This record gives sequence, C-alpha cells and structure tokens, in this order.
Amino acid sequence: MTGLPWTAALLGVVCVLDDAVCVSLLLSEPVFAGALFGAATGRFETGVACGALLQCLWIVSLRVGGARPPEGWLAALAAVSAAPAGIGLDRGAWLASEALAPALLMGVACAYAGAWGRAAVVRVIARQADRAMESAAHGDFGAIERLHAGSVALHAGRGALMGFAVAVVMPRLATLAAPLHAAAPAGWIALALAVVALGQTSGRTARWTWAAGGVAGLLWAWR
Amino acid sequence: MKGNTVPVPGRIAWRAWSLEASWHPRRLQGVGALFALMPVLRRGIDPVAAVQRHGAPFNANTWMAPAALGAIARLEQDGRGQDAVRVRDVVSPVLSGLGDAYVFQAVRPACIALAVTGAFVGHPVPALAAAFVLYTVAALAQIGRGFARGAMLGGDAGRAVAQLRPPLGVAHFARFIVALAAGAWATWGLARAWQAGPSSAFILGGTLCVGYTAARRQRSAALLFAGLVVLAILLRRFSNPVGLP
Repeated sequence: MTGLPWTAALLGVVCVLDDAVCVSLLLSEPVFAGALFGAATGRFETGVACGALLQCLWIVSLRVGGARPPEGWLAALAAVSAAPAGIGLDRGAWLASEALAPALLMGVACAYAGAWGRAAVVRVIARQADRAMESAAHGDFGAIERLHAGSVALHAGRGALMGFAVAVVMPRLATLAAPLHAAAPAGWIALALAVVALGQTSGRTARWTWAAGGVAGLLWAWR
Repeated sequence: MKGNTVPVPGRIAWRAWSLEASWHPRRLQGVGALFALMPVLRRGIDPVAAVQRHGAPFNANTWMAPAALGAIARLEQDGRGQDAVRVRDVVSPVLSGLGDAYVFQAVRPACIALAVTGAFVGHPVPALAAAFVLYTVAALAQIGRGFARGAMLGGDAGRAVAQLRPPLGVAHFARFIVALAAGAWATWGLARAWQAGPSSAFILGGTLCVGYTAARRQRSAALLFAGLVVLAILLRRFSNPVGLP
C-alpha cells in the first residue's frame, strides 16, 4: 500500500499529459486509467471494472474550445483506490455488484474537483501568457517557449499532486464510509446512461444498425 | 506566386503535438500555435511582425491543427504572411469542425466502446490493446497526412479542404461500430439484468428512460448517475417501495 500514492502520482502525470497537454491517445480515459492503475497496484480486475463503469458516464465527450468533461482519469484513480477487494470480471456479472457504488460516487466527486484544479492552472497560464506575448512583441521569442514549457510543467505537477492526494485520501474515506453499508445497482445505471449516449451519437438514421446490434446483444447474453 | 522549394520543418508537426498545453480562454491554443510555428517565424524577414500576426486566438481540433499549421508555415516560409493569416482565420475552423465530428463522434467513442465491451465480456486486455492501437494509428495517420498535405498546399488549402479532411470510410465505419454497440449493450444489459433479477431490469429500463430525457435536455450524465445512485442508496436504506434488490 505504501507505493500506491507514488504510483498514482506517476500515472497522474501521464494522464494529464495525455488529457490537457498532448494529442490525447485515450490513456486519460477512465477505462484505460483505471486498468493501468489497477495493473500497477495488483488489482487489475477492480481497475477495469471501476474504469469501465466510469467510462460509461463519459463515453461520448465533445472537447471543443473550453468545453471539457470533468477529469475522468482522476475519477478512475479515486474509485480504484476506494473500491473494495474481490471484484472479478466474470462475463459482466460484476455489473450486478452493488459494492462499487460508494467508490464510483467518490470518483465522480473527484472528477469535478479535478476540473476545478485544471481551471486554477489555466488561470495561472492566462496571466503568464499576457507577459510572454508582450515580451515576444519586443523580440524575446524565448518567452513563448518558456511559457509553453512552464504550462506543461504546471499541468504535470497538477496531475502528480491530484493523483497522490486521491490515493492517500480515498482509501481512508472508504474505510470511514464502510459502516454505512451503502449499496446501489450502479453498474446497471451506468450501462443505461452509456447506451443513451451511444444511441444519441449514432443518430436515428442508424436504427437498423441498432437493431442488428440488439440481436447480437441478445445472442451474446444467452449463449 | 510560386513558393520556394525549402521543405517545411517536420518539427512543426512534432511541436503541434503539445498544442493544448498553454490553452487559456483569451487566446485558446494561440500560444501553442506560436510555439509550433516558431522555427519558421524566427527565420522570416520580420520575425516580430510575424509573431504579432499570429498572436491572435487560434483554436483547432488537435488532429486537424497540423494540417492548418503546415499550410501556415508554408506561407510564412514563402513570405506570404497575410495569406497565412487568412488560412488561420478561415480554413482552420472548417478543418477543425470536420475533425471534431470525426474524432469525438466517430473514432473516439468507437474505440472506447470496443475497450469497454472487452471489459463486459471478461477479456479486457486484448480489447484495451486493440482500442489503443487502432486509435493511435488513426491519430498518427491523420496528423502525419494532414501536415504533409497542408505543407504542400499552402495557400491552396482553402480550395482543397477535401484533400485535408479525415477519411470518410473510417468515419462511417466508426459510426457503424458506435450504433452497433448502442444496440448490443442495450439488449445484452437488459437480458443480463433480467437474469440477475427483474428489479435490476426495471432499474436499467427506468434509467434508459430518465437518461434519454436528461440527454435531450443536455444534462450531465455523471451528475445524473450520482443522483440516481444516491437515490437508490437512500431508498434501500429507509424504505423499499419499488422492490429494489
């Protein structure tokens, strides 16, 4: 358990670089972040289960201009840190498990807290950008390069700090919340919301494809 | 005007990889675009004027930005600064719109649906690996192809948007996968929930209705999820009026 916060901090840096700095290659999506964190901490199946359910909430997210979904990677790290042991991937049977609900709720809360942290970093960058642009207008082109490198470092620091914090706080919070015996069919709720999002994205013109998928899904369920 | 034959430096595409790092509301990706273009702007006749020309806000889909930046770099290298500004202001928003539909409504959800399906069926490793590889290949192909064509077209980028747009076949296939996943997850979920207990199927079906209504009103799925889970916890704890399991 002692290495957990440092692993989360390292993964936080990777996820933030993928999400806020570079061209995203899916590593910051909850299902990937959860699987990576789970694999690094010896709880791969728990990581995949938490990540997949959180992914259902942000399966279609349009990142245009300033519109960004909350920090799904942080939600995954928090949920995996807080999730109970013994979650196994058995052909989707884990979807019926009600024990994941508190961890997923904590994950969603952390995702919104992460968005607040991102906004704080962006405010710092905006202030520094004014100065850098003024310097560049006077021929100091290095100011642009320094600002850009500084922005990368700020985001990376944010990822490390937030990853570390959730890995320290969430297991303790889960222990405190355990006596409440909070349980809910979170898997079915998340799955339904993902179906709605996918259906809305594919549009009504795809109804024959939905139908084909529906038949395949039924066959898959009863095979 | 015939352009010079000096190739546009490939490191512009590499530097554009981190376009989003210095994003902020006032200039959006403007500082990132300046950072990417700096190798060309520095070598121009009047670098200060070039930096001021490109100090305005810039915003583009990160898969399509290299195409626009390649064309801008080509024009700046040819000494056609005003044409470069026109490409930035007129062509890159068009490319960005095409890229947003391609990435966020087709390729990305399709690859994520593949990864999550792997988790549902109990084979996450091959599904996660396949989704990652497919997405990365699609991104690298679009970025590399877009930058090379943008740098070649320069000022003609506006007339040749069709050459820069993402491949339609890939977009159609990805949307097909998304629709297929929507249908398959719905019936598979209902069947598995029914096997787990009729009340689970009731919860899944009810959430489909509530989720559909909320999505039409642009409500956040994550907040709706949190609300429904808290409601279910409270119902289980204090009463059981709808037979929750």
